[in-house]
Amino acid sequence: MNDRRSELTAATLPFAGLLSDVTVLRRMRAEADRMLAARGAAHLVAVPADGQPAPGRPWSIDPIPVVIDGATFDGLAAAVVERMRGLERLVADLYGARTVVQSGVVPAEQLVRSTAYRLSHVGTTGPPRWLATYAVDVARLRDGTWRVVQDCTDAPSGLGFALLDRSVMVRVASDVFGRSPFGPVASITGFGSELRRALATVTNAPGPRIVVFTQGPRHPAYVEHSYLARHLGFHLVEAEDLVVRRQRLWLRTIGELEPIDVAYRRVDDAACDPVELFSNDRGGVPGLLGAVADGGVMMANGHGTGVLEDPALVPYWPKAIAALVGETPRLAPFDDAARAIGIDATPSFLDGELTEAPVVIRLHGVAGPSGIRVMAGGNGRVLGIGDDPDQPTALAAKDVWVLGAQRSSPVVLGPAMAQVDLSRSVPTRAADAFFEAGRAVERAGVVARTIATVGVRREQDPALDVDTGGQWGPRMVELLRTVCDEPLLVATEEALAGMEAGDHGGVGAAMQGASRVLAEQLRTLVASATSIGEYLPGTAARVLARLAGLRAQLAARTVGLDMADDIAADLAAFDGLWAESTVRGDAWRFGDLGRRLERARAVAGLVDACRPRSETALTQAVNIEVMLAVNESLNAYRRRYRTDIEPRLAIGFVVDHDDNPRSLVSAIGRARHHAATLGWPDGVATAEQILAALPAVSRDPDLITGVRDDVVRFLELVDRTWFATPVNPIRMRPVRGSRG
Amino acid sequence: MTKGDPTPVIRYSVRHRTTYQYSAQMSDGYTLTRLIPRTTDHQRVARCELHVDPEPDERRSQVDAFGNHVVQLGLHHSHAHLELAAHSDVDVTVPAEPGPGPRWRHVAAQAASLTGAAALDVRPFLAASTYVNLDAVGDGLRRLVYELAGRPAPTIDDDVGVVDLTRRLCAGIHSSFDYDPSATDISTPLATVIAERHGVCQDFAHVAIGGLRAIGIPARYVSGYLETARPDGPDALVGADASHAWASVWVPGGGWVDFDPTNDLLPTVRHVTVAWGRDYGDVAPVRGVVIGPPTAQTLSVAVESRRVTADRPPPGDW
Repeated sequence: MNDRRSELTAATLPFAGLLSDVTVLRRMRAEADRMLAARGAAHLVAVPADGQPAPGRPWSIDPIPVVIDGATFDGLAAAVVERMRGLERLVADLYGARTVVQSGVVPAEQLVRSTAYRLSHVGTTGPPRWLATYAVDVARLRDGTWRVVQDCTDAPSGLGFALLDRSVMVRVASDVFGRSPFGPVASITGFGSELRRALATVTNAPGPRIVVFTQGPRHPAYVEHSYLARHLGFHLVEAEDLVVRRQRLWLRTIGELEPIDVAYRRVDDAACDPVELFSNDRGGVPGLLGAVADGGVMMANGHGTGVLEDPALVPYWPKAIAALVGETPRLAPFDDAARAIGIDATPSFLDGELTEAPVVIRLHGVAGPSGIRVMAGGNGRVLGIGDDPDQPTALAAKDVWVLGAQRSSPVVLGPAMAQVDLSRSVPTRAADAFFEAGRAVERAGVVARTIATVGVRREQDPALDVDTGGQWGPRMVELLRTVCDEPLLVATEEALAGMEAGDHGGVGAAMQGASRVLAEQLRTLVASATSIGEYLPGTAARVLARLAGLRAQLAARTVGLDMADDIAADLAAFDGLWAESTVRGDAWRFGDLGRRLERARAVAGLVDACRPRSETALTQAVNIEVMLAVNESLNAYRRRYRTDIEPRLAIGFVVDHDDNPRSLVSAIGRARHHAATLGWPDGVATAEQILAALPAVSRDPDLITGVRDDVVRFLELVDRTWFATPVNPIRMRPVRGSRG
Repeated sequence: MTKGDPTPVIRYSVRHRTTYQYSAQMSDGYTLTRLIPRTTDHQRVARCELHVDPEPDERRSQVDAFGNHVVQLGLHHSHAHLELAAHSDVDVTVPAEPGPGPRWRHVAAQAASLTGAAALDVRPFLAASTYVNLDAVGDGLRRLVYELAGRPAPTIDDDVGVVDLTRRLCAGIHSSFDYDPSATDISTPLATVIAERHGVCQDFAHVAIGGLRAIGIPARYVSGYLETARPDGPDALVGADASHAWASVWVPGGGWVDFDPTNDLLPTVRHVTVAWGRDYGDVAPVRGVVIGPPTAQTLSVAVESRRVTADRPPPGDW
């Protein structure tokens, strides 16, 4: 029956020529995946931080969009505005006059038993606006009517994904865009500034300081949080970045506390404040809700708006809203009758096949200074078989195209927002993450290069250990241990016992241990860099995604030489972005400090492990060559000295040669510079003390152990001075009555 | 007392000290306390001071949704202990012995259909709450009420007055539950308390309010103090040397009637009220977090509530 075919399908037909070709679709899909990875939406998948696989993008993208004609969208947008307005009135009433409770429309006993109703807000001055953002899931039934599946009011997600998906789809489907016989597809790029304005509207503070408040990389929608922070230009902060003092919320930054006016809350309300009764054990900011109740900081959305989502209360809302605003909502709920009729199917590209599937569409509204704006787009979510429409499994997401340019959000030209320059302030956690990322990239690099160098040497020269009288293998084991900064215990014992014949005295086993360390360092790098993604250039995400992929392979087996090379190359690419494309603020400075100090430690370790002892001259030469190679100084050394390798000269080259960027003196010199820029006299003094000790090392290489210890102490000093991070809140024991 | 005497007013002087000791230095502490007695129909707070050691950096007073006094403390410097000492003088009028009360069925029907301000004041106390999870234990509680308050069990006639019913329930809990501080802790579910029939005042108060709510009668949780035994008296009551908890039942036309299932008292005669709410969670005397290295914490509580001779006559309007 043709009547049953949806408008959606009908509207898609003009594109049918392009969108029904499976080859084209497959190419579009692959291209979309590649671009999402490049935008940072994919690399999280491969990073288990605490044994659990980290959540990444909730679902992949279906290259066939949901297409809605302009008139249909206008009707839906009016419904969104109406619902958002009604729900705003309702939530203000539930925490204010409670007329709907007094009239009995909402039973008080039902309301207070909701775990999302915050009695602590009753009677306090509510925020100027409870709902700054709002999302609603709608679905079109087979009979052509639209129904509301659910309202999202607590911390509505999807707006950032919609912007992200569109940025990908614009490029993937550039062939299709702009050629619709109905006119062009509405643009949603202006919606970011609508959101920014809406967030500024929830406070009376002029030029408000706004942060995106996230639960961190473990949150399923972290990719979206990070994308929004970047898109809006706000700090992305976690609970440990924040502190409450004098009934206000403050951002912990390097050096001082910065006041926050608005927290764009991407955190479930039960995870906001551990002092509160209903809080769960997921941390939070102690005292935050006290500050909110006092008006010292505004949350968007207001804390307590989650009550609107409570399924036990939802049935009461239509009457309650009607009582408050005097009209009945135009869209009916997705009830049993709707379920019986069923959701209309939409063309979809799933598992490499063109098919039809039911889709739920999430629409977004924001309440700005000039009223409610509805995004002319949204998130389409493909339902799997048997899926509940409000809890779809992660099957595929669809971009939502609204036809008709007049519906695009105009670029807002209202009064300019007062600009607050937060660029100087660096959240302490971000500085710490930079420091850790810097250390990890350096450590991963030296471990990868050591594995590659030793491995190549072993392949080229299978008899090396025998030729050196069994001296080479144990030294290489020592080298691996040193660069890994781990005992690699099994390997060491085997090496000392010399049990494993043909393994160069345990080198193979030590390399196995080293690949585990390499995997661990890559994990730290990707995890730390992910949490500061908004500071890094866009391309960094692509490199990180590749490194995450390599790390996943590493976890399964010992690193091969090719893979060690690949890793070293990707790390070098990351290096380049770090050096050339990252803004050199204080955040970057801490990252670079971590890198330089870790490099200094690595060089010291290399010299320590490879310096001449009582070996034959041949063995000494081989060891020194390895040292130079791992430090990427071999070619430079040869070009400079054009001699056979002479240990003292070579050690001098990597220790105190100013022209060698990979030398210890260069690394500590940079660290000294950073300490001076940060205005940190202790750091400058520590660096100078190390620099003063270097010239003696080329004369007496044994002195390197003392230098290495000093570098390690420098690293600890940075940590202690700048990142003494607050630990998790500990609950005070509850007081119990009656001799409890 | 004989008819015609003025309503007696007793002044209690209450000292309540709560001390936390940590095994390590904490750098920060955020605490919400409900230690300052509220005004009620039967009591007036003449004086109350909350002494905090070490001196907090921040201190704010507010009133919660139930009208209880909340003091919020912020301690933003290194500390290894926290002592909260509340000293109050409270004038209490002993409530009159209530009658049987309106028929309980009628009370249940009336409560569920209250509108206006009464809906806000009373209906919240019909609901399941954190510590009184009627979804899980409602049936068990209903059976318990019929068992303890039935005459003969398990029958409660529709015309039994709500106060009489409560009196029976109060006596029933007192006689069939064992007072045993070692048997339960703050996280013991109500289902366990009901099944094993032991606990402390808090547990008995939750059983009482849960039982009443399970049959549709509004009931609230009350925290406060009991008079400490006079050295010469044989009348020591359970729970006097710590903070105490009891319950209160809604009686249309008569307000709320407090009763103490731990000591089988209705009305309560030697009690000083601090706060009330839906259950323990709403009135916890101290709740908070500290920030610092992992720590062991010890908690000690001392309470003394004594009658004093009023140094001046009660105000005229009493």
